[in-house]
Amino acid sequence: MRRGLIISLVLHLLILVSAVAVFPFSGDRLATKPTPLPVDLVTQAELTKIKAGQRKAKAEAAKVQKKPEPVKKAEQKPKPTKVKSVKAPVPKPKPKKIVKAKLKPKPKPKKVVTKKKPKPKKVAAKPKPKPKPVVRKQKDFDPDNIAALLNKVPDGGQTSQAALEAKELLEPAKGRFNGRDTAMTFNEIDALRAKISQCWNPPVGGLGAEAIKVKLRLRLREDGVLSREPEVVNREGSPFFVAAADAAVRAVMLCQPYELPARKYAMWRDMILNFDPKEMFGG
Amino acid sequence: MMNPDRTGSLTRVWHAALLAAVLALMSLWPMRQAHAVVEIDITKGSLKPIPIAIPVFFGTSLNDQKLGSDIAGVVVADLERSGLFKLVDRAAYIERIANLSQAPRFGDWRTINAQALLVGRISREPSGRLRAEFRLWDIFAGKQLAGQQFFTQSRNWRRVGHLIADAVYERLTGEKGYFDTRIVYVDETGPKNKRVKRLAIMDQDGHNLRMLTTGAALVLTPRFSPTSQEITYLSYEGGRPRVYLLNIESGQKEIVGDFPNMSFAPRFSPDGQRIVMSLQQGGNANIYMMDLRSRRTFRLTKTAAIDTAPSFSPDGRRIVFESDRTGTQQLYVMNADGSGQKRISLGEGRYSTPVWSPRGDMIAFTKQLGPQFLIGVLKSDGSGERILTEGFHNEGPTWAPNGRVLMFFRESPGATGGPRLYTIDLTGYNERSIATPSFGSDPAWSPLIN
Repeated sequence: MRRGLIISLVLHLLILVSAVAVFPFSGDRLATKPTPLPVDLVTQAELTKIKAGQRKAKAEAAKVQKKPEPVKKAEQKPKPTKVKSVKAPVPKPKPKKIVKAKLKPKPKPKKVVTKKKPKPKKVAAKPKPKPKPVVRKQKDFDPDNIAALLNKVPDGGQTSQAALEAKELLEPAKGRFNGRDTAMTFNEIDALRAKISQCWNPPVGGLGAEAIKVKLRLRLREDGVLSREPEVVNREGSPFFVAAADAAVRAVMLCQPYELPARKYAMWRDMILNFDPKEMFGG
Repeated sequence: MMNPDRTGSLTRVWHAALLAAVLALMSLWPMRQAHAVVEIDITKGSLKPIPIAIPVFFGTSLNDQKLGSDIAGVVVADLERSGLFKLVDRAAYIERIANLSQAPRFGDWRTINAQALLVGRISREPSGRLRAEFRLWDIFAGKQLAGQQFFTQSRNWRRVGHLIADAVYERLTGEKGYFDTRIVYVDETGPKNKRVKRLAIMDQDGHNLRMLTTGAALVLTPRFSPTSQEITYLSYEGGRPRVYLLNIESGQKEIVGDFPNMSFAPRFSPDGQRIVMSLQQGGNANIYMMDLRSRRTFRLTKTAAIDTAPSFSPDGRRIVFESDRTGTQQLYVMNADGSGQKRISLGEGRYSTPVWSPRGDMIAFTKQLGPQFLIGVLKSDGSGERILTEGFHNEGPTWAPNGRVLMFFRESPGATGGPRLYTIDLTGYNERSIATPSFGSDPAWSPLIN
């Protein structure tokens, strides 16, 4: 019996210890506080790498990944049709690019195999996408550049989920919309903030304008478009607040669609935006 | 002694309970996370004029169509002059509005980047009176923001335009408009050394100008009553300076008081029942208040200096004025009974012509700094001084009734130079000149016309 009791006590203790380990701040988490912002701790070296990686990525995109880009652009064009929309612009160049991309793949590998040179022309550079990386990677294996090598593997055509995830893990994920973190990073939040700031034209100059805050709740679809009209959470009756609330609503409607990381949809499907113009008054 | 079976089962129950508690906690944790709502602060915006589309107001007859075009023109001019709105080019409009009771095709207006749309219709009542209606739409929210109709004589069409502009301004900025207002000022003609000065009145946009005095006597410092269409001013009629009260509708004129000495800078109290002014005694001037009903006068300052240019706070409790009691002209604030006098201007230079903002937060002034005369604002405690405009000679600020815009006059140098009227936004941007047929100085902005 005594043995049983001891075992029981030990087990209880284990459960308690594990509970403490698993929920160290359970009290805080359960409290209905605003979601803490995720902080990415990055060392100086890492930061340099991230920046380098991003730059590289841009360069690569210019050289290699042109195939998906033109298609995307061709789809986005109609939306912003501005005042001159009557003219029905630019449908031609796009298909052209795609055709080129399809036609060229073969000659390219040859070129690349002979030499790993900068591309002759920008236009010609675009089609290079797939074939080139594959050939190069397999050929000149560079042990100093394993990440780059691994990056090319999924490009080679295997697009299994595992391969994609492996690629994403190795790519500079911080600050990118398709980072693996489930919480939104500062960079993502800043990008969203900057975008909305561009669209927000608050009524300033009125008496007490700096003190007028509008809290807006947004519900977004996965494609970044509002699924319903933004909801003003804090209601006030003054004409000035009404104008400020309208300006905030106008801003979020004007700014859509929002390009946010699809993987984190759960995080941004339902958001609250606090419009506070205090900083514009030097506060 | 305890039964071992019973002890075992108790232990199992205890385990089960603990496990259940732990599992419950574990299940709670992700749920809380899943329901957490991301909260983001947006603390900066862009200060751009709101793009607004204003098609010409439509009408059934040719006359009404012409009037519709004219009225829309007044609205556009008012809104654009405020600096807060920008008209979307009419050539870009896709939808042609011909029905006021039907919602516009918002997509068409979004395409041309209009954020608001103002549509209007002009028609006639059986009596021949003009009927002007409008609807203001929020293009992105897809809802109507305002809608009103006005009935009036055709000759008042400009005023209809100002009223509609006020309604749009108020709905989109939250502040009261100031377009349906008038300006009284001193019209100046003739050579510099022999100017003829007449009292003139016009709409705030410079239209509907008319003269209130003949120019036979020098007139100075006209000021509007905050509650009625009356003005007070100083005139040298009869060879001596006296304060007059003039009803601009009836043209009726009366002398406020016949003081033995020179009187200056009269200004109404916010309730329109009192006037504050300064009276000269020897080399000094002090501030007095007169009750317009009883005509009794109270002395508010008593210094061996020149105290002048008093202006009431909008609640009527305090008065700001200028005084050279410390050697140079500075601004002071006191209670309406003359107590608690305190200097508020602490910067470099000489401060004069203070005017309290109708919304109470700021005091506008003229500041002489070196060779320049600047227009600035500060708070009533003297803090937050800001210069809005500077130049050779800027003077005499007056507030629009919403406390958002100031008008002043700027004198150009040289033998052919003279004063012209200008407006500037409280933010220091959007300076505009007001076209007058001849030189103009000392403007005073009326309250909203009711």
